[in-house]
Amino acid sequence: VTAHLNTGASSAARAGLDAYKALPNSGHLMICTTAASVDPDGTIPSGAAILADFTFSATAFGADTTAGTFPAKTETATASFAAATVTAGNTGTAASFVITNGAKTVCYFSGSVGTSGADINLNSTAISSGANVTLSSFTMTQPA
Amino acid sequence: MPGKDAPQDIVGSGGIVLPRPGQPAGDGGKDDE
Repeated sequence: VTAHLNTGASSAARAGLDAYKALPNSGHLMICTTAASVDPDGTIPSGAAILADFTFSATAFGADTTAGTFPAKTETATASFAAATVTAGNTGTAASFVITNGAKTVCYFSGSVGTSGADINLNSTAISSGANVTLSSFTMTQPA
Repeated sequence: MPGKDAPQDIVGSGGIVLPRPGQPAGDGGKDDE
């Protein structure tokens, strides 16, 4: 299903993006070994399943930027992390990520991790404990 | 090249695409293919 929005409706979509992007303020983006289809309403991966743990800034996503034109116009916000590079805490094969609140008790979003065609693409999904893991860019995009 | 005792640095990027308005919820937020 594809919907296209006029300017007014697009404003509503941007408001929706603003609401979504505030959810993980001071939260976490954790790269996990758990199979790629983590149910955000299910059990949040923890312990040895967490390979890398990024902490979002108090304002998790920056201002929206508009890109493209009809029919592929989008609003995109880029994440801000306390540190873009973290040290892997465990060894395993990355398959998914979850985005949680600061206490890691609520999962807002989940997605896949791979080396191409995934929501997050890494140079390698084989992560060793102690490795530097860098997320150079992470965005949230709303079709507008 | 990292030494054999140095774990490989991992670098990546990505993002979330929110569901397009009118798209059913719970489809993983994927845009239309």
